[in-house]
Amino acid sequence: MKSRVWFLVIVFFGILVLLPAGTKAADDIKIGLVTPLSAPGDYEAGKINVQTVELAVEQLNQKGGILGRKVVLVKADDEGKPAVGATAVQRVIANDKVSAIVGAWHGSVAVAQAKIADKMGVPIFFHYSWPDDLTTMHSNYVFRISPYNSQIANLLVPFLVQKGFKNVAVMHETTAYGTGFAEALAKAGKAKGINVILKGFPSEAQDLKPQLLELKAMKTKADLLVVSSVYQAMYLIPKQAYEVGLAPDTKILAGWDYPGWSPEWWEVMGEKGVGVMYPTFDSPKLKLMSLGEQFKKAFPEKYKFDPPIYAYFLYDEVMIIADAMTRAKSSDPKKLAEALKATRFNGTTGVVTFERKDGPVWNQWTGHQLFVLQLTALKQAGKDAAIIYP
Amino acid sequence: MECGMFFELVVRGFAIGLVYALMGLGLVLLNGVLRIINFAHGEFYMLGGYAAYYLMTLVGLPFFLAIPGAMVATFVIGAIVEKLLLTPIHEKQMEKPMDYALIITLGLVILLRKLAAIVFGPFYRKPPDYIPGDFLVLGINLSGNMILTLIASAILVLGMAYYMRKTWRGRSWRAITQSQGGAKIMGVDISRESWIAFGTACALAGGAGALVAPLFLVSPTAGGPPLLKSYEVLAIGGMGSIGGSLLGGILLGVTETLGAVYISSAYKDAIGFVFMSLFLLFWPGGLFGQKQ
Repeated sequence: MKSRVWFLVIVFFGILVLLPAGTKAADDIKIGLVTPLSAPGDYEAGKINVQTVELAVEQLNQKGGILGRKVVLVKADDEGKPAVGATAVQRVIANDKVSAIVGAWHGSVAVAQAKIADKMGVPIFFHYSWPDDLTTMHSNYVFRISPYNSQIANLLVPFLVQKGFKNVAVMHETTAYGTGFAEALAKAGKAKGINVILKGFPSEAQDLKPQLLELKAMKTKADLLVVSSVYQAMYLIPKQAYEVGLAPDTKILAGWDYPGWSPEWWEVMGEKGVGVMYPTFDSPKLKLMSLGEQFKKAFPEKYKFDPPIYAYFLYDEVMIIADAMTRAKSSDPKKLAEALKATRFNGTTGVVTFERKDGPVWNQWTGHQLFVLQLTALKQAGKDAAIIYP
Repeated sequence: MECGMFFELVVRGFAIGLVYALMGLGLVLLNGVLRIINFAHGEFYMLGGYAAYYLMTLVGLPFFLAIPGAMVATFVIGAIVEKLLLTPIHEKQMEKPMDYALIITLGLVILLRKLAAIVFGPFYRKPPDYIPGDFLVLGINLSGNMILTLIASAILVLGMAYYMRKTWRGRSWRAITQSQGGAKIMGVDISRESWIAFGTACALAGGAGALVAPLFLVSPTAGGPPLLKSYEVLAIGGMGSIGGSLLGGILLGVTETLGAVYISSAYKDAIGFVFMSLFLLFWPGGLFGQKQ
């Protein structure tokens, strides 16, 4: 009896070992998509990130995938929190064996994610995360198509000089993005003789009037107020600037993009939104390559709205991954990282190369086009706003 | 520093302090009557804001009906929450009602926030201005919305203080605060007063959210900062004290506003937190002690 039981056990395990493994999912190429999909993360942007990458992957698979293999997305939610984002990156690398990761968003989360990806040796891309820190670590596995804080500051200063702004106040959230951008602008502005006053605030602050009153009371009043925020302060600062009487004498430059497309802008600001300027990397003057024209057409065909500029950068990332894997003839993360260094890709808005110089220019693309627009009518859409720079 | 700016900062700090006082008032009530900590208190502030927004934009109510409407809505939701989730605290005469309430209300925070994000979307909403335009008060330009908030907050706080002293229900709540057993003997229905008190606390939070919606906007995560401020007010003013809530809120508002300008704007919230910590260290009972 006992020997019969043992015989059955051996047969059972033997069958398990010898059975075919079924569909070999190991053949698929896996790309991690780690992005905010729930609050407190910016899940509105996260949703657009998902839509962009899904479109890119769909197009790749329609053409036979990469290296003849199907591309599969592994999605994870970083919730806009560094700890959750870092864990999500760790999980998709360790459990799902992704070849690369795209979709990171919030700057503070991105910094945590970059460290994990670097340590685990898997390429991670940043399409719209701005802290300089992401690339100053000079990792072989961190690649950025996004602009970065000190570059943006250097692109913005000529606008300030051209318009004659001498005293610029920057109200910035105290995050990797906000503080990084403010300090970079102060440094770049000072080099051109512009006095830059910095006022930080906690990112979820609701009452910004003390800081605005202080700016109003200064002997040399600011002629421009730059807003650097991604939470409700991006609406509250312009609104409260009017309420304390700082605006309209002090002009407002609302960073970044949102007055041109945000449905909340006109609801919050009403008529006071007219005249506000905002910097952006997108405008009707944006020069698109042929891939960009294709994407500009394909995205609204599928999703019924126009893609924001960061969607172009994210789409580029996925296509660049495909290009690099083809050159490397491999989806191995290390070989991919090596091939990415030599990238010269005709992207949506320019030829993408990953430069390596010093400071934050490490695996960094620098071919961005900056514009400054101004809203000239109530409830105006961004595409109809006046381009006041360049 | 200019005297004019200092005076304006004090006035604005006073104004925001009254809002804090209103936020803290509901917690004072809860802590006194139900002896629980409600981590979801801020979420009722958020729900009140959304209620006012949709009552005005979808239903078309004027603000003087939308704000009370928001308070009624949050009262009802609060009462349902109490009946469904918190009844065991007094019916089963738990040994550690605080621990139970802590866990349940923490779960409620997550549920309400995620639900709000799904139902209302991630957008920042602003109802139409309740009282459009700015008015000169003591030489300071204050928006009509802020003036309304000040007046309404003062009325609600003082009204609650009167209610607690002069009405049968108010006295029964104070009796429960002192001795549940004693209150029962005197004919107080603990079960009924619990859901009414909880609902009232939620209505006060909802009222605060509705009043400041045009000032600070509404979003699914709008409840976070007010929750923190409410507990700071509770710690400064003293648990169970309405007068403490009023004075504590004002002190917190003025300290934060002045601190943002004269110490550091980036650490405005931390300054308020340090202020509260000093009370916990040197005056743990708060300004007006435990009960009133």
